[in-house]
Amino acid sequence: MGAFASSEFMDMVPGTRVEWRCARRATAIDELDDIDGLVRNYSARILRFVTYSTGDPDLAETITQDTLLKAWMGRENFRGDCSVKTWLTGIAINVTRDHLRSAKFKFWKQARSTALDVHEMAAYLPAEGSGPERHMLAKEKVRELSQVVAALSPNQRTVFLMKFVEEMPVNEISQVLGMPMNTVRTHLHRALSAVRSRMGAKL
Amino acid sequence: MTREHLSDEALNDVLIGMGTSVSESHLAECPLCRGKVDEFQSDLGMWNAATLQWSEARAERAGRIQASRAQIRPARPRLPLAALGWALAAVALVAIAIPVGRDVGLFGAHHGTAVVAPQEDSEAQIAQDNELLKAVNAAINPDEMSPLKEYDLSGRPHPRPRRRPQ
Repeated sequence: MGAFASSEFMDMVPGTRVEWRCARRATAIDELDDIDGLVRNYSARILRFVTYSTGDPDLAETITQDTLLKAWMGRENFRGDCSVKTWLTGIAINVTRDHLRSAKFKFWKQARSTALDVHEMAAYLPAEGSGPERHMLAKEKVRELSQVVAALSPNQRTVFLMKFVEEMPVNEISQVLGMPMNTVRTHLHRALSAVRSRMGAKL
Repeated sequence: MTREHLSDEALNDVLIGMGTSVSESHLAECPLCRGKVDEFQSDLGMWNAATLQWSEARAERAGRIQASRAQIRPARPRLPLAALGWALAAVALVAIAIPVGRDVGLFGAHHGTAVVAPQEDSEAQIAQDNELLKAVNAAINPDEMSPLKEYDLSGRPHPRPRRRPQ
């Protein structure tokens, strides 16, 4: 158990939790001040998250850019009660919602068809020394998983991405989405059932 | 070892990190259930690796985020344009509503008699008005002496006014 990772430990020592949060906030503000580092470290992750959330890679680029800009310009508002990654994911979710609600997006959604190309995505699978046959099978699995995730309901997809892509714990997902933990759990269960049934009975 | 395998729900709970101690101990001893968890995590790992590589390549190729950096200005509190627009609209509305409201009697007892607050005219305004009156008078009746001169409003000595024959 890491001394700084245990919230129980922090609660036992009066004032320590607050100091820890302040220290984390200060570190995070330094990180957020560096726009180059922010883009370098988080843009790809946010882009992936938003691409799967919207199903539109072009729109996802715009939303990623907006998210990082918003985070950088509002970095003083970061309270330090979660990681920078979680905070950015929360902003990305809000920016995505704004875009999805806008009439402009609805129009372009009908007019454009820049759908997610799951074949293109699967092609990026690293070879890692496996044989060509295994690599082909792996690519097929990636393609299939991409299709399943894209077919999930918006809520299921969001919580699935937050849990299995952003690796956020359920309580943090609940906080960011403002959704009760049981609801998050239910969405995750449904998403997992869909994924596991599609990926084969053996899962 | 527990004989019964984990139910779908219990397995899902394990995968989302909410597994019970019973589930965990079962997984430690059951290769079938452990295999399901491992296979899911392996597939997920491949998917995460592929999608991250894809998004990294795409972000790099687009380069839009980097390009926009040059346009970023230091963070400072800004008045949102929408708020400014609403504020201007509100001021315009009030400016229109007050005179109209007075005319139609919206603001209480107003029975057509305008109450005008006395205003002090400035020296410059008085001088300007006098000049205007002089000009108007001269245009109407060039032969007649200006009333300003007639009543010594200009402050200069002047001859007595000439009377017209009755």
